[in-house]
Amino acid sequence: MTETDIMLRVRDLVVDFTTPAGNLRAVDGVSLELPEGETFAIVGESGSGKSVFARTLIDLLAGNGRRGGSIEIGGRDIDLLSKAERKHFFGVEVAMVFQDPMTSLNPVKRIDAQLTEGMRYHLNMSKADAKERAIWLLKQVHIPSPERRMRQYPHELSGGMRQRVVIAMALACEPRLLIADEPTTALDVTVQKSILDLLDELRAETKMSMILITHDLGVARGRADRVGVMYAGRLMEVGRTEGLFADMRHPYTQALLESIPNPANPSHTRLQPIPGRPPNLLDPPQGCAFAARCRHARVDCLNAKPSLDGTTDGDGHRWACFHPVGTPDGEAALAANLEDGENAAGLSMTEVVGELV
Amino acid sequence: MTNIAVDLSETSHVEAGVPDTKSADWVFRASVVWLVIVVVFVVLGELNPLVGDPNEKNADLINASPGWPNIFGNDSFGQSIFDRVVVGGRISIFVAIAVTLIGIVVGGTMGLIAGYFRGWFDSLMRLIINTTLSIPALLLVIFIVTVRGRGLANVVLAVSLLAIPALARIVRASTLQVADRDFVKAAEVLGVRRGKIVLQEVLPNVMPTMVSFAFLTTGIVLVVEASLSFLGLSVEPPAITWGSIIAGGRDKFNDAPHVVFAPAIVLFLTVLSLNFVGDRLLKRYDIREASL
Amino acid sequence: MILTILLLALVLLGVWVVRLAGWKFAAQRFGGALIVLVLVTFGTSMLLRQVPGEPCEIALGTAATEEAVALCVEEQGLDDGAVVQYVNWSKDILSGDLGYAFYKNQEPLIDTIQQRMPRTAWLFLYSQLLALMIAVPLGIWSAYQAGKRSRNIPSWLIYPIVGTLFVFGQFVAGWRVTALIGVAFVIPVLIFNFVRAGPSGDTTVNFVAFVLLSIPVFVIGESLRYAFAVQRDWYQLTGYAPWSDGAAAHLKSIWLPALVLGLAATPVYLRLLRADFLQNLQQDYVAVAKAKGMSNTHILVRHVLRPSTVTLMTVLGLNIAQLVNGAVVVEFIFDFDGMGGYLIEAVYRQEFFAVQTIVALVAALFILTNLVIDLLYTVVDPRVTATAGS
Repeated sequence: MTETDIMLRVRDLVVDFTTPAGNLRAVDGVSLELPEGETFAIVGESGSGKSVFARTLIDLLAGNGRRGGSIEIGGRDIDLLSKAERKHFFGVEVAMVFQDPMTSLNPVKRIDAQLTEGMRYHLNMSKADAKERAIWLLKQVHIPSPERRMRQYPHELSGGMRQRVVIAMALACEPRLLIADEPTTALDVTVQKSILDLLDELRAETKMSMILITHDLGVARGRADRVGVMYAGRLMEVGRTEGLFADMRHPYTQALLESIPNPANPSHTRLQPIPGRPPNLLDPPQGCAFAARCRHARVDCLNAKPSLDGTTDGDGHRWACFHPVGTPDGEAALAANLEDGENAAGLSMTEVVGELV
Repeated sequence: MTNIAVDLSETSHVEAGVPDTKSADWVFRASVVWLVIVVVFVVLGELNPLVGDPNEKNADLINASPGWPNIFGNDSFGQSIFDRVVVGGRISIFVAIAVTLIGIVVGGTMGLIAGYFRGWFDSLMRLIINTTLSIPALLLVIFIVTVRGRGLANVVLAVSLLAIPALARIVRASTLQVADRDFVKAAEVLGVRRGKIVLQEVLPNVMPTMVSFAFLTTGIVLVVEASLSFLGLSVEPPAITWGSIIAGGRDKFNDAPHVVFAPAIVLFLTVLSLNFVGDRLLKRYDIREASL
Repeated sequence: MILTILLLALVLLGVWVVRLAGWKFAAQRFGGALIVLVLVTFGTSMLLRQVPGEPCEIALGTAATEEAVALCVEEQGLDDGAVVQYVNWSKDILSGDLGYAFYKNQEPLIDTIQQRMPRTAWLFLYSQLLALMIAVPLGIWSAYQAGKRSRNIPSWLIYPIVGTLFVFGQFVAGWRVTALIGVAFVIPVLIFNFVRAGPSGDTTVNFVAFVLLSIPVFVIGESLRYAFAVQRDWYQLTGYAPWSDGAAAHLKSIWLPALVLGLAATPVYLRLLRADFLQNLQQDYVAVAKAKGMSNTHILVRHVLRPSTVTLMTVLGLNIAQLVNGAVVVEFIFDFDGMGGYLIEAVYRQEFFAVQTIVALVAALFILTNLVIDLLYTVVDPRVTATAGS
């Protein structure tokens, strides 16, 4: 693959926050490559660092945050941009759709002002041209009677419509990379599907690449070309969607999938949550971040962090685990833990395995 | 890196009010120390060997500059400013504390009842509060003092009429918040007597706000009383207050500026300390209320 | 004149609000204000009866013959019940008869007001403009800086700050005080700066505002009076010169009291505005705008300042009360012939009736202004209308 075919290249991204309670590492060495035209879904629970990651990509870091590693968008390193280039980079090359449509729009400004703002600033469009294009954008996102909507205030639109406006805003300057941070979490389930369909449709038309942040595995599975599972600021498993879901390797991915209620199961089947809690990022554990809650955890897992680049099975499917699921090594680890009655971190196996024991 | 205060870290808060934590600690301690000093001096008054007779006129020392042993110098009658400030502080501080206490007790009770029991009492209260606070503070106080005459009791009365609704409003707001919390609702469901709930569940949680605002109010009352004295409308001579000392020093400003500056600085430091302490206490209890 | 403007604004706004939010909403607001207005003015006239002794006698002083007192009592309605007195008083007021400024010489109060009110109005205007001119940019800058955790003031900022402090100290109180300021404040700050552990720009501004807030108005007033009118000749206490005397004369006669009042108001505005700006900065839509790549200036002005205009208005409205307080004190200090000065004079002369009328009028003005601002709220912030009537 040539350089320009890779829309986004992140190398060893590390994000730290200085807080009164100490240093908080929200992103701990994430690397990924996103080819042009593809969708990469990042899945993780709350606190996994996925939102911080998304915001860092668009250079929205809080005052007390520091970043290490490199980010290249469209082949250009964002740290090496000149001041002039920087002015018209974010919002033009790369754009972001935020999670909460209720608060993403300025409540005291009309829709037309918020839509045309970016276009007039970056593309130097006249007011009339920008307005025309705004109406066109609203049509693209399937908002009925766009001319009327333009003059309205955000609170006059429903949640779903607001999110469409936010998407239209993001697309205003024709970005090549779209970062969608949980775009449907704040919406009703029925609306969710329509928004995701809309994103798919727009992507197909414009050949835009997309990073889709979500906590919903189903969404990731259905809409992404590649999936990355994030936990405690690190990517635990990465790979093409079909491959990853067909052949999970990381115990966390497996646990995540198993915790989703399956309608195919008989009623009254007990749910299988993942026991324990995410680690304290102010005082992270020395070894693998998931070890305390993992059924495959052995002693080596407590002492060293497994690297993502370690094992692979072709087609870019990688995982960061010493005793992966589905391998003889992993099976042996699981069996040993079951025999001991607890994993290396002292987590009782009955808790972990639940009714399957 | 961007400079916008988009706050992503859960543990950091950027708040209005008193600055950074480390340096603020020192200022806080300094404020408390100062307040203690003031209170001690004021309470001891003339019992303190360092303090002489405030009305003692000493012809040799007319308009003497600050130095030793007259730390604050002397005024045009030769009286020691230091002595006058210490003794004058009595009245000023007394008024401040008395009014605050009245405000807390009366206003606080009203606020509690209005905030918890709601209903007609609440509506009545709100009407009273809105009405009283519709007149600019000083104007109201001046008016009352004009009508009823000067004197300690009238001053305290007048300023209390201001403090009570102000504090009532604050306590009411806080009570509303607390009353909404689950543990209060739980107690109600359990059938605990309403009065008991107010005293044992609601009040302890409203207390921190009350205390913080007590400090802030004391500062404000101090300033109001001083302004009143300055205008010549507070207690009558020979009673001394900080404001009256300052007012007295106006004419001879050129010759003896220290007559104005010494009590002014003492007043300023005291108000500052009270504000600091009150503000800090407010922040501690995480109550995001802008002062007044 | 101000009254006419206010009433006009009230009517216009009233109509606008009714169109936006319906009759019920408008009625609630107007009704509420009216009730408070009546209660307050009634209260003031009630308080008149609190005077120990006979107000008429005292007011008349040496001219207190029996007939004069009896006439006065009848005029002022002190004979009648409280309500009747109030009703008559209101009728008088509304028809323009405000009673006498100085009872003895029977000078009509309304003349005094017309003469002196504009002066106080100018004082208000200049001082608040000054305060806003300082507080708004400083507030924005401060909120902007607040996100940065940089721990030292940029050195180029130190020199103007230090310079101003020294100049100020020298002006006001001579070299001893200046030395004190140097030792107490400046040197530690400089040390911190070099040790890289000092406060950020925002913290400094905040701290200074806090300190300024704690200085009573009359202290500021007296200090500056000493510095500029006593020690030096920069301001003459010769009294007010209206615009008709020429702009220079007018400004010269008013600049110092305006400065004092403005300085007193600045920290109040600064704190409230800064808190509001900060809140705005933390909103999602600011992040969105940043993600869209808009420049910082654009964001600060269009996305932070604009939503804050509402707060700005509230602040202005709330501050009127403080303004009135301040104006009374400041006019007293500078012997300024405005309404505040008159009030104090009236108090000294025990002109109860005049004082009552003025207090009632000021309160009325205050309530009306608050109503106007409340209505403006509705008009400016579209969300309020959406929830109107609830």
